[in-house]
Amino acid sequence: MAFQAAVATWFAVHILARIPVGGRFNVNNQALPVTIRLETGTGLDDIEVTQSDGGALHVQNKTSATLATGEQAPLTKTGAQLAEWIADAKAAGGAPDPTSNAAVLAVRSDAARTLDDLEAGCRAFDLGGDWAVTKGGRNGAQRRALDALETIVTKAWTAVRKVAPTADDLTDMARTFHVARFSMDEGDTDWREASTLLGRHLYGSDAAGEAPLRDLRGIMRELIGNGAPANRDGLLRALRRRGHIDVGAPRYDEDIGRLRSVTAAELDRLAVHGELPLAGGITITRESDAPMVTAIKGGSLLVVGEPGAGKTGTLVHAAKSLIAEGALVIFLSVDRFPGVAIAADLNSELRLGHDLVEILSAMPGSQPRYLIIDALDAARGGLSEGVFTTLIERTMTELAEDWTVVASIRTFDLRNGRRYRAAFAGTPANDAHADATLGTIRHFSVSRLTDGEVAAAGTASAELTELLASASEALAELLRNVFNLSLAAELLADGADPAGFAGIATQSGLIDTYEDRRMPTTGMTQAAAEAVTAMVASRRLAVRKVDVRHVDVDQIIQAGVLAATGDLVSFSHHVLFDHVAGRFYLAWHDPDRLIAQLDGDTSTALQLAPALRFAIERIWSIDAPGRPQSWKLVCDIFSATKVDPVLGNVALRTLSNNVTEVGDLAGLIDRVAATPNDSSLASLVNRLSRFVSMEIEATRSVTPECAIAWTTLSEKLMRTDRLPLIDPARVLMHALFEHGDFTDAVLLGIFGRAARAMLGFAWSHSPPLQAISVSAIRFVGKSFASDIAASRALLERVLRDPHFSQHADREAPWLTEQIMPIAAAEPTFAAEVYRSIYGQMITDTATSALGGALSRIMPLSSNRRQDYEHSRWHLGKSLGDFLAISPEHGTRAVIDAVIGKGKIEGYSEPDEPVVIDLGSEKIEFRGRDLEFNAWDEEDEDASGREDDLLANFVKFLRGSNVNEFSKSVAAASRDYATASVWTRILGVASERVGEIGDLIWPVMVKPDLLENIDTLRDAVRFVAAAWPSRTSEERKYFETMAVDDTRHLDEERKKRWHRILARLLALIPEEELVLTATRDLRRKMEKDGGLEENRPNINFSSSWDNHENWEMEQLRRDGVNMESGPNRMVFDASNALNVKYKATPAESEPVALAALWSDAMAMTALVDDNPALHDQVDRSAWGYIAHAVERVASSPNYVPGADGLPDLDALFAVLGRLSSSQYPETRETEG
Amino acid sequence: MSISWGNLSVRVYAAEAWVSLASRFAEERPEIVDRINEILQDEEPAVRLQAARNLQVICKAAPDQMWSIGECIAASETDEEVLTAYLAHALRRFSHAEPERCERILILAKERLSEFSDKGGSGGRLQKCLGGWAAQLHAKQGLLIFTEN
Repeated sequence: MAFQAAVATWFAVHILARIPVGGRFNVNNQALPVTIRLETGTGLDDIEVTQSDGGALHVQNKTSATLATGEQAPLTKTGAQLAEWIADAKAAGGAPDPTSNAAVLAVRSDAARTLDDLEAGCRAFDLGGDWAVTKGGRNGAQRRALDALETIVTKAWTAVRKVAPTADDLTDMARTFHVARFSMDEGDTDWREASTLLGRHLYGSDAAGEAPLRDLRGIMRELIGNGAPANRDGLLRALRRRGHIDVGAPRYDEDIGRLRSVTAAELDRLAVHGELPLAGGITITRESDAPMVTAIKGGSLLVVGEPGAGKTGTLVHAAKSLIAEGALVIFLSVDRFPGVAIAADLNSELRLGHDLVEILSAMPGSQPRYLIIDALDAARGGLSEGVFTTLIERTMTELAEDWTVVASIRTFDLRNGRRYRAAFAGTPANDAHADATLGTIRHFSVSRLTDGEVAAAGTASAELTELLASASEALAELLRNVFNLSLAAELLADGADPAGFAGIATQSGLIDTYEDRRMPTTGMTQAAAEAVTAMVASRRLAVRKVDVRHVDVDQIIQAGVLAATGDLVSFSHHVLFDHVAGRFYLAWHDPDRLIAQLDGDTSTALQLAPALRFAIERIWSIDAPGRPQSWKLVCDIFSATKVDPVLGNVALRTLSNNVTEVGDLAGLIDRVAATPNDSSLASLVNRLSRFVSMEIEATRSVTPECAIAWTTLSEKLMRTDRLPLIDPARVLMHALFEHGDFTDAVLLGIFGRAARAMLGFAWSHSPPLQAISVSAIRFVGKSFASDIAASRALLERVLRDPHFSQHADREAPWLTEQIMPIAAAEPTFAAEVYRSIYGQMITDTATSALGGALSRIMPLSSNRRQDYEHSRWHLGKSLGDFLAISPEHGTRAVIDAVIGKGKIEGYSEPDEPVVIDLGSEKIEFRGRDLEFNAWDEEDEDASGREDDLLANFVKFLRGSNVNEFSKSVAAASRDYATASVWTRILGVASERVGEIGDLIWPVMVKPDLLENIDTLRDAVRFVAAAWPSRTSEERKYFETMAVDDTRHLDEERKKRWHRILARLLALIPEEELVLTATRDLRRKMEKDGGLEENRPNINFSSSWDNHENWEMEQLRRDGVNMESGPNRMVFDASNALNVKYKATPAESEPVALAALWSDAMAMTALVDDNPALHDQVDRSAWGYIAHAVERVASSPNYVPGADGLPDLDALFAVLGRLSSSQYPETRETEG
Repeated sequence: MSISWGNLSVRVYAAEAWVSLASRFAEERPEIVDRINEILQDEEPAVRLQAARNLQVICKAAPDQMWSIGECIAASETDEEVLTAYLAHALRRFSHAEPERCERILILAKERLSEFSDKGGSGGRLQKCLGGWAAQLHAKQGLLIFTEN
């Protein structure tokens, strides 16, 4: 094994040093060894080395082989494997190519010399030849050696193939077979060679290889028996883990040096992006610098931002920071490689001898590595885009373990770059520096300069300070863009007067000023335009200077507008290209010519898109009111067949961003009115609506003027009655529905008109237009107040048959979603909605797709009834807010809803209405809402439902002021109500008796609420609670009524009344009663044990009376001695523990919990001491222990180790026992 | 049929105790999370039910494990009520914060609908539960999950 590891180490060194090994075995010496595998389990299986030419070396190690041919002889074993390998390979279609494959017998340097004869004999066959003839021509020693080999392989071959090998087979075997001596003991020849190679190529000097070589041998030992192949990367990583950090990459050192110098040159060239050209260079320090470095360390990402935001500057800063920390950074700028069309071009431009990804992979060392690619957008859809995208994709997949990729791109180009989005799919790297529209991309957004950053830059220059101090709001905002600030700084450095900036309000204006100053002659602007023409023609942002056909090109280079690098020129910033193209190249003054210039494919479009934005802004700024020329141009672009849609979208987006008030839309509105059937207009408006919607959604706001402008457009679109124009209106209105301020009466009015027109339109179709009608219902609901009568007339249709039965499952949920604006405008209609929605039901359970259309992600279906029930959910959860707006109508809504719900759900037949006399008036109790528990008892299974009507009613009653409570009571005292509503009024009144007592007391002059089975408990509670604050007159009046037995029609009713009185008198002390008769009655009841607890009438929790006795009897019947003995003792202790458990609620003080714990532990000890208990006794005991332990563990007052309570270890130990209890046994629970 | 258990079902009450302790102490004592996991392996549905319907208690201590345990429940829990309790109680709490992860689990459960087709007269408990989920997401979260491409 030691020899095997040593030989393997020799091969591994050659893999690491990238040095061929073929020469030693007479095979291809151009190929490099690639992987090594030990104990492969096939063929000559000690070591297998694969080669870069597809061949392989199969090595078997025998320290001391001879030519002996006995069965156990080493050569016999190796020869047999050789024969099997070649025989199998030939049977499968051909022998391995002997120029790239070898079977090697590796022996120690001191092995038998006769093996040299065998090697020499085999080599005689390297050029082919007949077995017998060639063998016959060898000397005696070699013949003997070949005879020995022939004997061995013939026997093995015959055993496998059942026939002897032919002469050709023997020749093939001899050609493939090699004997090689290895001297790999430390200090021996091969060891020294390996050590020198390793040191020289990977570790900096010939002498540095010794230590890593020893560790490499250890690594090889570990590989034995593992069977897994190791390649260069794996070997390097293993060595790095052992502390051997490589410093060289054989064969790649030159390329690596090139990349390092390109990086250094780029960082130097781009340093200017982090500075302002004033006062000798002002460094711009960004607050985002540190977060960005942290984000980059977290993994590959895209750096995004608007043009000129300062992406390059921050990337350069990040790169320098990472390098300073010892990281390896390769920095490439896409705009340096304008002519790159395929990957080979990039390698050639960088003058690399290898593929770039391969070089990255070969980079030595173990430090963090970053590939930073700046300005992906410079590719502008050209061929180089594909090259860099592929570079990014390959690095991120092939080198994911070692390399982090960071690339910068403008947000606009990212939106159009599907492959970038796919490569960097993920979540934003830092939430504080994220673009809301890029939620699915791992990115870092470089935003505009903050106040602090601008101020810090300003402090270094007096001119800049003056400019910033005097800047208008618009200019100040412009100067937050690093590019703009740099332009301003350049102008100031040129001697421009800060006061001269006063009139600048747009980026275009600022760049105009810059261009006018730097290019003062017509010739210079013509030269700039020519430069753009050449760039557009070649679809690159850098062209040969000679291709700019104007003599003044040198002047604009001199002026700094163009930058020259060698023979190439490019604009000094991409934004400058865009602006010059928009101003001096695109014919913004001649729309027909402009459209002709835009002809072209997507890559042309991407190159010109930012320039078109500047051109359109120029047109907009000089356009007449209503912007007719601007809208005409965009319409023409949309109807032009040869213009790429990207440009139409840019043009339209530019216009939509510039709209600030309704007047800006006049040109478009006129066109809508004049040519509503124009299909390209429909397509434009459709796209426009989505842009506006996205913009509003992204910022979640819209100015009042803009809201009115877009709503006005929507209304005009509605008036056309043309479906293709109505959907855009819906999209616009939806954005305004979400984010518009409807307290603005003008907006509300226009929106309401448009909404009602839309609903009328949707319903006028047969069948109705579903998507539009549901949106329109929401819109009409939201703008209900704009015209109450008209809105109500429309929405009532949702609630009435036949429309209801056909459409309520789809429509009612949206109507009810808007219940609050409806309630605020017209509470009577809101109450009507509650009555109708709870009083009707869609009983159809036909399947419907959830959300209207079947989802591709989760195609869940629902049914019409379930869909309809969403509307009840909306109403239920909104009830509290409705009650706050109108206690009166809200209360009527609860009453009608409860009645309707009871009737529809039908858990009991509606009872005959019960007439209840409230003193001042009589009402009916309708319906019968069977409640399983008293309303104020917690029901664990149903608690917390936010749409629970009655629970929300209680919340209102508890939180309302006296006036609101009074209005609610007044509403419940009219015509009809439900017992459930009155139980809550009475119950909450008893809780708030100090405030509400006087309000409610008058209804108690009549006994009806006390006599009613549903309300009696809460009526008793109220009377008892209010009693102390009653005047003696009121008490006397009540007591007189109470003891007046003459009012009972029969004995049964009298008895029933006395049971009710028994509940009440149990709560009122004798001394608080004013009539002797009442006192006597109470005294008698008390003496007879007749006073009753005021329990809920229906309570589903029940207890076994005398359960213990019953259980004991059962045990006796089972033959258990229950008079004394362990069973009785444990039985009694169990029951005592159970009693204690019941008396110790979860909220008990720690002391009480500790006592329960102590009893439970004593009980545990008792059970442990009595192992032969009856099953039932044992089970009860453990059951009660479990109860007690659970009570302690679950108590909010349990503090580990405090006040005699167990610490967590003790608790865990007991719980661990309980968790492994045999109870419940399998049949005990029912599933 | 619903799962029910006797007053003396020791492991059920022990499970309740572990669940209560988890919400307070699981961060400092991660073995509680292991216990919760063991509870979910109990042969008795009533025992598993305690952990399944309250799985959110390990949310702070072991969020990743909570989700992976949740996926196991959705993919392999044999008792419909236990599965439904998990979806309707524990998982529901994450409907706003983690809709995508919830959806993944719901899809796992949904693929098993046929295994529980009204078994034991439950009236399609799982189906109703998934419907309810859908309704909640549909009504409260503006269809995002179900209609987005």
